[in-house]
Amino acid sequence: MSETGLRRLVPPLATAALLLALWEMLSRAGAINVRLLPAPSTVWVTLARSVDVLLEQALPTFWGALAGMLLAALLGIALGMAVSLSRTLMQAIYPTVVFFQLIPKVALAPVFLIWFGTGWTANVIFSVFIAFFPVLVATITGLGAAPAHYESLCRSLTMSRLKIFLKVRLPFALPYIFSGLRIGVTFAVIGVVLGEFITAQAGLGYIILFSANNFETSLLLAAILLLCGVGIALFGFFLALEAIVLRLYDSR
Amino acid sequence: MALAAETTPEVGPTAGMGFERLRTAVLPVAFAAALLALWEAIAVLGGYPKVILPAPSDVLAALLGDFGEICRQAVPTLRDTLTGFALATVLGIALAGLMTFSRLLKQAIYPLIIVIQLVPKIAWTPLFIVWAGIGTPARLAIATFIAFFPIFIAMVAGLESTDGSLVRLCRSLTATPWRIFWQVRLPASLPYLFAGLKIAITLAVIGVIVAEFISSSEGLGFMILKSAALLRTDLILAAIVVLCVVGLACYGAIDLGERAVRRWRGE
Repeated sequence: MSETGLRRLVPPLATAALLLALWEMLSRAGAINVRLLPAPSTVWVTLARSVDVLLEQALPTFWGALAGMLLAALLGIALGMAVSLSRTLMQAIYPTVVFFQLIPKVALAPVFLIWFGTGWTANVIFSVFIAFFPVLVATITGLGAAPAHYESLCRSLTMSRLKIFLKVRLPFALPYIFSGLRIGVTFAVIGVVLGEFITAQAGLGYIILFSANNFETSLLLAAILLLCGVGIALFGFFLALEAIVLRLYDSR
Repeated sequence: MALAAETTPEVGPTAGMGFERLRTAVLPVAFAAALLALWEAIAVLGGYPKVILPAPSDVLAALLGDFGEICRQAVPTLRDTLTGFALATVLGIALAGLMTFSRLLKQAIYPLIIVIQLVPKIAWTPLFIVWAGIGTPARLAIATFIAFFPIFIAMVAGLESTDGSLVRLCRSLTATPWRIFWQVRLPASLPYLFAGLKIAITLAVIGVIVAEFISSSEGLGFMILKSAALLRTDLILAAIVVLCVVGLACYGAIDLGERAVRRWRGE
């Protein structure tokens, strides 16, 4: 690793280690109520002991968020493209879309419960609903981002509309779309976890709520840790996708 | 269509602009009205029970019928949202400001906060409830926790966007670091700050609602969940309508603030 990379990595890691050590010492010294905040070592022991159960519960959460995000991405990008084809359609729909982007959509979770029941599929549908709007808004914004004179030039050179779309508007839109996907991923995880909170059947959200109700704080923290892993893995997946697609576009 | 719209202003600027403005106003309203009409038609003609799909007219009836109760429940939700948002704003600006004074501090803390930012923060809600009980303090803590990150990150970006030569000039004119922060960096970061504030307010609402879902005896989130248990879908949607109005009003207030600041800066 290069020296600048090392220099960038060391201070945050040192801070994190320092904070963990401080937390461990305070709770060993009895300065923190371990029932409220168990020591990092206790959390680690709990994680190691319950790792089978936790991983089993992490699977529906992970696949749910991934499925929700992929569906939201497909729907959001496709609809965004469709809307961007016509200026009239776009002017008509865009304000409604922005409205949905701004309102607290999590409040609709109980309605989804009534419509789709409890269970994994219902959680995925809710997660699609939450993750869909950032992707849609980003796609629409991105497809309008190409400078107007590029398009005029291509049109005067008798390029077809499809070709302009593929060669001019889409490349300009890609960074926007991917930033929408990055926002969408965190929403997709939130959607699944919230569904698990409310219906409480399975998944890490269920474990988190269950252990909170039983005051098993170390299990709660272990589950949150694992959920962080799920969130970061999904985020990484879409970052990798972004890198691959952007490189493909650049090389052409 | 697109071609026509582009040529109109050249032919007659005033007429073209008027038509354009009318289009941008009428089209969205017409679309929203069409959606509502479609919903009403499906609910009425489809013969769905009110529990599954209440028509917009049913929601309106529930809204008018229980308006007092819904507004009463909106008060704690709005109070917790705004208080948490205010706390997050103060904390976010203060911590981001602190980072401009020490490079090491920034290198040590900023990456950690970025990593925490990736984590689904809603999942921490039960932990806050274990820590702070099921009352207002837990809901405030969650709202603050969720709203803090976008404000902090936007503020750091904003403070960094300050023109470096301007800072150097001030420094060579013996301005104190505090004065540079107050008179150069802070004004330069305001556009970024407002972008962060807009994200933060929507997240603060979400945080409070989720906290009310999980454990609460008051607030719109509680009312929504209670109505779900009573299979009063119309009341759920009526409460959500009020929630949307509250949320959009907060967002609108920030937007107005942003415009005022822009005007003050002479943009």
